[in-house]
Amino acid sequence: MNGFLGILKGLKVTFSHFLTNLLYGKKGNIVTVEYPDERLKYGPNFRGVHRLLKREDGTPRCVACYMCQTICPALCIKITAAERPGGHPLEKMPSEFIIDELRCVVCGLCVEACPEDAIRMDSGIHMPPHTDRQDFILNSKILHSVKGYQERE
Amino acid sequence: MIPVLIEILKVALFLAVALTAGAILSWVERRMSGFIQDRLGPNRANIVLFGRNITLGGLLHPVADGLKMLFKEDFIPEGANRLLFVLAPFLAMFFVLMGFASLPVAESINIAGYDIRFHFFDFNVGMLFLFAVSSLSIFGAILGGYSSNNKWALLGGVRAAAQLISYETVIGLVLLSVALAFNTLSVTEILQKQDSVLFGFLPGWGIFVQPLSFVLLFIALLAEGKRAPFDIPEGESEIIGYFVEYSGLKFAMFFLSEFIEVVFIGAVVTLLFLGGYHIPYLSSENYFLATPYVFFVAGILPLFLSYFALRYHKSASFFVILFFSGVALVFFGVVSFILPQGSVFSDILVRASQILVFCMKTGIVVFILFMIRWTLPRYRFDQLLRIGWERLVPLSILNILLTGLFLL
Repeated sequence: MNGFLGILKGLKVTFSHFLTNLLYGKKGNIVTVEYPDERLKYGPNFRGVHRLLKREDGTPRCVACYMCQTICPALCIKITAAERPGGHPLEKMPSEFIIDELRCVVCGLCVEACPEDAIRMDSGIHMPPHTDRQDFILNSKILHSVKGYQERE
Repeated sequence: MIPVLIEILKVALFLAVALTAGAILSWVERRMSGFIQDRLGPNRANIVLFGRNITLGGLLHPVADGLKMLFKEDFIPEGANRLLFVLAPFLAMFFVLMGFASLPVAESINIAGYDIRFHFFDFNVGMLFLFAVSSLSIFGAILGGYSSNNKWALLGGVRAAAQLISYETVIGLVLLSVALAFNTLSVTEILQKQDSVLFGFLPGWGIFVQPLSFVLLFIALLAEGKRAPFDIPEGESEIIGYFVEYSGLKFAMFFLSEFIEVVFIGAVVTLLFLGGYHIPYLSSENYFLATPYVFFVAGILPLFLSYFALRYHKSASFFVILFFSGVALVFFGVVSFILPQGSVFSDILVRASQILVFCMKTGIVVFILFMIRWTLPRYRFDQLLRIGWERLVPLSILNILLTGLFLL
């Protein structure tokens, strides 16, 4: 008899949930986010796609010190260094900065290691899906064009 | 010639309704479970018409499922007994559908000299037929498990067989006491006898004549239909089930037959215990008095839900379906108010309202079955057998004794 009452109690719980959600949908108890149509906002420390920053004179912030490439546990960064044109006092810059987003483990160590605040992961987006593996390998041109989440808003 | 055509038409209509109902119920259950668990449930399958996404609130999911299963590989595992493997889903479907043959849905009607009955056979031993067919329907599960050459499937089949033995006894004993109480084995006569008043204030439904039988049969039919909490032949989280090796349309047949069996359980409970198409305190000669109100009551629910579908679920296409079905039902109610008594059309409307009442009662039972499924966890196998043999069987024997005592 006690068990039977327990069943009725359980039915009351499930039925009340069913009724509120049937009638009021998302205004009821439903917590579902219908992803492609609705998106949650990520917090400011969300690690998204990398981006490279520029100095105020328009040259890359990166000085090709290889810190990020050295610390990267997934070995996904490949920098080719070159001399800055026009006798710039910083002397070095990357002629090519390649990140393989398929290898990246999104640990954020490259951002921590960078002494010049040249690389960040604050873009606020996932790597968008592609059908070709080559599309996941980002070069410095693409990385410079990615915007931060603050500019994005 | 024409009577034969009528019968063929009836069969075609029944098959269409039963299969569609099974498909729609599969969606209803998924959506219901979603709401119960604070999810939305399937609502995304869509077609694009005139540049708009039409989802019908997810009603297209059964169609999408059917299409998907149609194009899947029809796989037969190595070492399987090919004949039995192919036969099993057909048997599962066949016996479930056959169970409906002895269930009267409404009173018979006379149109242009032809007698149209709303059931297929009027057995004078309809109860025995119900009993026989409902026990045969488990053969699909047993054979499917046995022939798959898969240990999980075999376990599922064995579990189904053990469950059958323990719950078939209960169903037999309960049907016996129901037959004793109503003093007949014919389902039609049991239905007619429920059109009465008990002790001056209760409707003479089986649930009031035989309350213990109702509880026992309900539990036993739950186990019979392999519904949770007695779904151990499937037990998705343990052994996946007797249909583990089935794919494509063969799997769809198992799946569909399970949902049609739910409707069958609902119909049997409605007929034996909830008075079939009868309305309490209203004898069937005066049924036309209630016809408009039946339509109104049936129409209010979709109208009510359509508001919430539009306001909170933002599904315009589903709103249109609900709204217009509600309006149509209310319209028929108004028509049955206006139409003079005794004409063919008003007779048809009376029968339609009887079918509606039957469907609503069945729907309520099916709803309770779904609620139970998403409330209770699955019993362990030994617990299931213990409930069957140590609780239900003694209770059903006691039930027969009590019934006999009352009859004396």
